[in-house]
Amino acid sequence: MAANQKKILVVEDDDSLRDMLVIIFEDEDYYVAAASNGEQALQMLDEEYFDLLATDLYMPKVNGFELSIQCQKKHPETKIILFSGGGREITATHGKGDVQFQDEKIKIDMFIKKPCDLTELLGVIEKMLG
Amino acid sequence: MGNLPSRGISIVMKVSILAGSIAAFASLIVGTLIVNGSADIVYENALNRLKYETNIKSLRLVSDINNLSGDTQYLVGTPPIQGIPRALNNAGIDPRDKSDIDEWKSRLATIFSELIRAKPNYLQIRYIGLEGNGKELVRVERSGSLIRTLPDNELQSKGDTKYFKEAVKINLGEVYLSDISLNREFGQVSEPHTPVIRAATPIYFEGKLFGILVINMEFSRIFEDLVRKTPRELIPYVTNEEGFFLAHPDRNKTYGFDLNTDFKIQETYPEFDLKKGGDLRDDEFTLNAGDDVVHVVKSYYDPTKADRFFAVMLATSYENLQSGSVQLRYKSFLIMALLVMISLVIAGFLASRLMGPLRLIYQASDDLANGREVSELPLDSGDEIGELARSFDDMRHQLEDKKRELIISQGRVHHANKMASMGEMAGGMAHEINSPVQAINFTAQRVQRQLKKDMSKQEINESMEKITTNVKKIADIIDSLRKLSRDSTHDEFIATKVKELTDDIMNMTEEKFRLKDIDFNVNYHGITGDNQLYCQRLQISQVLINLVNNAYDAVQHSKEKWIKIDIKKAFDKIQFVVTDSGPSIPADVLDKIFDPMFTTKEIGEGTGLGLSISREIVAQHNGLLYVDREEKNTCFVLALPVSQAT
Repeated sequence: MAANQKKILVVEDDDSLRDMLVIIFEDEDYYVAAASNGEQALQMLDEEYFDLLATDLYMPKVNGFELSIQCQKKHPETKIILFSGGGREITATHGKGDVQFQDEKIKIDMFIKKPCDLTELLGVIEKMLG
Repeated sequence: MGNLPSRGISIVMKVSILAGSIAAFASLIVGTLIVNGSADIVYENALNRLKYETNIKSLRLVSDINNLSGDTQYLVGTPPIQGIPRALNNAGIDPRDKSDIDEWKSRLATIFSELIRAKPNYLQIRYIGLEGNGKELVRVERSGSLIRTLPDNELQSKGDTKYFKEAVKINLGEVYLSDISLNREFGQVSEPHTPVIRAATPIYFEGKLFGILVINMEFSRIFEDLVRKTPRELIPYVTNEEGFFLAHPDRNKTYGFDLNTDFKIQETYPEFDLKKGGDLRDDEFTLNAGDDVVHVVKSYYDPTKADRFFAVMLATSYENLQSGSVQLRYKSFLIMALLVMISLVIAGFLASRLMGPLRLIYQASDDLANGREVSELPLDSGDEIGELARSFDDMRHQLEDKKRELIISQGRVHHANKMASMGEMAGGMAHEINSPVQAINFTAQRVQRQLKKDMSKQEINESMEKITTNVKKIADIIDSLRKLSRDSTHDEFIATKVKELTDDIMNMTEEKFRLKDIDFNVNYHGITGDNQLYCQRLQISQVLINLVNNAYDAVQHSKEKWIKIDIKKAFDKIQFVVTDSGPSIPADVLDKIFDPMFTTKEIGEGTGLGLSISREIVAQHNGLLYVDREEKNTCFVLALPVSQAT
């Protein structure tokens, strides 16, 4: 792993999508680790530092919103991107960082509404990780 | 007649009884009048017969005596009667034809003999002269089977006898008739008792009384005949003017006057009065004596003495006279009873004919009430019943229209309810669909990007496969959504595997549960997913999904989150027991959860129709949907029959 290689943690419960995200980020020469749920991701966050946490919202055990809160507590510098197809429980705007889930509100780096454009996503990440 | 309350007596029965009673009552009155009239006539007939029989007997008796008188007068006219005195007056030789006295006596004896032979009741015929204190001149008598002319030395003098004294007093041509008395020989009553009457007439010669002619006639045979030829139910009596019996079925009671017994008619019937006359004729009357009816005919047999008669009578019991009318009465009442019965049957038949159409209407309304096919109605009938039938038919059609409307709107409600629950699920679905869509999107875009950097064919192929896989995933989800959202209210009942039902539940809810970390399990007990039951698959799936969704709502915010479906066989039913980790439902809520529009959810979150519609669907399957109150967790039981046999 190159010294300046940025590290991304992908958290997604859909196997197919998760695999795709890993491949895409690897194509861009990022170091990519993946977890299929929030609980697993929290463990990995404890063990390793990541520059970016890219997580889905709806997941079993610990969801993306909860994961984001925990991550901000552990590693305030880690950037966070939250994906969601939307729903009744979430209020957020594509491309912005204010997210309200159920009764809680947090501010993260970026909310991306699924499905999203690959180029746009990669652009956002590149800008984020500088 | 369906499950109606017991109806008491049917209208048909009532009308039958009414009509029958009226007919029976009418025929009873008319019948009784006729029968009573007829019975009187029959009684009158019996009485008339009694009178007639009595008169016949009387006539016989009188004619026997008349014949006797006639024979006496006839004999007096025969030649030897004058020949004998002529010969006597001429020293024994008749001056006219020179016959001597013995020749004349012999001629007379021959005439007497022939007459006695011809008349079985004649005992004795004698020619008695005045000379020698009434010395017999010729005497012919019956002696057993022989007829004997007595020789001169056996002839007696009869000048002291009553008949002699009487006969010499009367005029030429008249006949003296003696009383009937028992025959005496030498002053003693002879055995066997022979009642005898003597008819005597005077004989004149040359203007002077010369002697008498006497015929003795016995009565025993006549009376025996009279008794024997009497119908069995009648008792014949003949008495003399004083009431002593001359003829009596019991022969010992006869001739009391000669035998010094006092058996008299007055003894048998104390109210008897021989002086009495009748209404119709003076010599005939009917006597009601105790239990008996006696008809009496006074038979005047002696034209010279108006006070001499036999009382000829026939007695019978009143009961005997009545027996004909009693029998008639019995027979008539029997026939009447039969008629009443027949009229009841006819009335019943007519009533049921009359009431038949009404019964049809009743049957139809019963059918309608019990949801059966309505049987025929008497629509063609022109009377009020037809009118009733027609208005009932209109009503029925209106009801059917309403029912159809209701079914349609019910179907709409069902479907709307399902759509509502589908909507609830759509949230979960969005995530499920979004992920593969996103995967497809990224895959396609990545291929575009990588193509610029010279991508290998194998890499492209892998990407395309990913796209295909994800498209199929989406198609599957859409397919199950489409399937479940279809209006399945009128689906057919088909054999459905239990697994197909659980798959439907899984497809619709698994993702949702996974995301909420709800532990969802389906457990089979004693059966497998291949066991079948007859049902409308989507309807039952809807019921189960509804139960599972309710469970989801109850547990999603709880600490402990699990839902399980235990599937087992109980007798002829398969049970789906849906239990969740939520606490049991409070009793006050429990009583209302199956009511339509009842919900504990927030406005907009539930229609309140789920459970009521579910229960309706289950009822159409002849199944049961209930809460198992014994469980400490919330536990719904859905029990469905395995076969469709209803």
